[in-house]
Amino acid sequence: MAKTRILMIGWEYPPHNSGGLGVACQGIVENLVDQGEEVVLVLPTPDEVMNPEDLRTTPRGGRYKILYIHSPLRPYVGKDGDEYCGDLMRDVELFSKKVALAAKSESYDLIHVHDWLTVPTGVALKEKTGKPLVMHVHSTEYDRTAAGFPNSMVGEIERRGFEKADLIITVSKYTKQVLVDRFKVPEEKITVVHNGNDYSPQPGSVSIEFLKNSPVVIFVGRLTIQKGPEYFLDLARRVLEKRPETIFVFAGNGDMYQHLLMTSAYLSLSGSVLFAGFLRDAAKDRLYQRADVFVMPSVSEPFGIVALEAAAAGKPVIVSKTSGVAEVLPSAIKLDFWDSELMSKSVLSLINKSDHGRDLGEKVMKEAGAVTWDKAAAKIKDSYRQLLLNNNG
Amino acid sequence: MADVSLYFHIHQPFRLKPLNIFDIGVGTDYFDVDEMLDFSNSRVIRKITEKSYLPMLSLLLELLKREKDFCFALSITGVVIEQLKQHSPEVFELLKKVIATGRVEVVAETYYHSLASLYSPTEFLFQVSKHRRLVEDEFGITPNVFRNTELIYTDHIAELVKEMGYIGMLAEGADKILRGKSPTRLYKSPDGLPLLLKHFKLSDDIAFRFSESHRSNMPLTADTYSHWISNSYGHGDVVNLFMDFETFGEHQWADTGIFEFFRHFVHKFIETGNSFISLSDSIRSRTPEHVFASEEPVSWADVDRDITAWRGNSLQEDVLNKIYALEKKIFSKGDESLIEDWRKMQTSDHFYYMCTKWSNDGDVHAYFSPYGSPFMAYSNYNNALADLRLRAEE
Repeated sequence: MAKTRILMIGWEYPPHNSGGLGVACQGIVENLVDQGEEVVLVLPTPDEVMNPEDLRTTPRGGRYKILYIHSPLRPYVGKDGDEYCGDLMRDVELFSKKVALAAKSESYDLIHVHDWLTVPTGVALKEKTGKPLVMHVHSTEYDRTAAGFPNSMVGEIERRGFEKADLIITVSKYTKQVLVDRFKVPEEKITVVHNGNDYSPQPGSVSIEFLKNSPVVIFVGRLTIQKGPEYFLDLARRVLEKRPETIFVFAGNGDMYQHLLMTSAYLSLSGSVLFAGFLRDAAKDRLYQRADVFVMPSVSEPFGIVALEAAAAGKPVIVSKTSGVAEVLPSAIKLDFWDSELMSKSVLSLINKSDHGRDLGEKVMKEAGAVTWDKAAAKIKDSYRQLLLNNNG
Repeated sequence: MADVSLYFHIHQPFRLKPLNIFDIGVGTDYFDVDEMLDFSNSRVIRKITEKSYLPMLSLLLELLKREKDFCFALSITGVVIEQLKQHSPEVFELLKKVIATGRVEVVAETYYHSLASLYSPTEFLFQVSKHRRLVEDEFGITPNVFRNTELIYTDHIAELVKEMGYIGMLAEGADKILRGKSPTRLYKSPDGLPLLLKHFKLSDDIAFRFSESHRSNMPLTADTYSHWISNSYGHGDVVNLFMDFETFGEHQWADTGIFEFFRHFVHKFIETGNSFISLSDSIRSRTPEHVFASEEPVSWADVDRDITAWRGNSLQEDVLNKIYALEKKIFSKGDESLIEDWRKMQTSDHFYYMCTKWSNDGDVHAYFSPYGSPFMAYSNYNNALADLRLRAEE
């Protein structure tokens, strides 16, 4: 079978990622490449581009090319409290033009874009070249604003993508349902491909000799309304009433950082709720391995890779019912994000009965082990074939 | 003809080093700041030594030698003395020399420059007596007059100070209490403790406004300033000029002419028939006329003259409550180094860095803070607090 040539347009990529999208993008690209597909990945970069072409090698020896396009575009508008200071629409348009120019010398069979920021570029390219467009939905404005006040401009771009894409990939059944219910996208246009996970920290590889003698409950993710960090604070307040020696850690940054600090202090949680900032590499390993319970109280979470990471570290995992990752972790405890009372009972039972926590940790670790980027890439590869077949037929 | 009492405050906190969650529960030292960081304690001390301590102490010594009637008062916190001895022994020797002239009064205060007076009377009394012992040991004199951290005054604190046997206390001549009365008279607390009130207008003309480019009579000359004082005040008045020692060379850099200004002012003031008077003599030579009373804390800080710079938002309130709530547990452990860390964490500067007031005062706060934001200051202190709590509860 001839390989499929993919022009993939991303918007963040490790090590310069601030969220799960970059991690997912890397998992998809590298595993597609390892399975024999040819990928050219286009990425915006805020820095002056000295060398636009970067040849990368996957851990298993596969090769792919990254094309850097100078552009101030960046994900998570309003991150860290500052609003996007440029003219977003103009920047998106300029980015599209630059990508179209750069893509001229590339040959590809289809265009694969990730979330709204890359949609205008994908649609423009599709209209220019007639190549089929795949839109990968990692999250929607509905999720990011926690069903509150979506940015109408972003919502418009998303709608346009749903309409123009020849194939939509969602990261969970949960998100597929959001698209069907909220955006009236025809069900048959959507394929669900769960994210994978390559993360499997080795016990003993890092020191976990810190925060000793305290049960540790962790939150990993951007401090933004979508992720429900305020529910984590409410959980902390309730658990600390019963087990005052417990330590709660927020690992992440975001627009709610100052608000959460103020609220935490207002609830009299200083010295018990800690703010670690964004952790990566060894620091991330240390936190996961030290943790006793992982909690993800997201209001609306298309997937939630961090829950898989915690599961892979063998930690008991509590996730909100409104999250995609729940679909691949059958043993994880699933609760309503707003139900801090039940959540606190759950956390208390896990830290009071360590056997209970250990058993649950082992179960979710096994389940996480079965969720791989290799499988995700295989499913994407199949849907490419199907798409090209339909398009030519 | 007027009298002036000069009083300068010397203090530097033990700043916390940057702490992360991995430093908690592993026996990390909180204050051992990396030499390479701009705000390492040793670097700050050496910087201020060069810019302020050395030049100003030398100038004061020179003035003491040349003007036999020149005198002033100093308050020197325990935590700055520890750091001077370690990082700036030449300054410490110079301090001793200046005080040995016998015309420099050393004022009593809390060793740790803490807010203990608002939280724990026993801890407050301990810190004051620890400071008194230090002053006696190092300088061979016993303080008579008390100043609380940031000149924080309440009627209750005055009672405690009186009980400890001090002959008087310093406070801010805040308008909201004086309501038009002059800060140059001797006041007393409701309990009868004599109070010397800072003349904030004339003090701040030097401390804050000396180099302000938009003042009407810029630059302020020693003649003008001396004239303002001797023209406005007479018999029975003592103008209390209280300010940070670092005003000279650090808050007002040498290139503003602050040192020359001060030298000329002292000469001019004496030459025109006025005198400098010690705090103790100012109290002993007069009888208090009016009561100065406030149940709410009054301080010398910011435009509000209250304590909102240290306890004005939930971040500050909570960590203050938490640190003092640990008192019993800390003592039950009987671990000296734990007690010492707990006390160093009470230094008011830690809470000052968490201030979120935005105004001209906010700029002043930012200038003195080792942190990029009050939130970072809180987060770092929060980590130290978590560690301290674990040690206390171990």
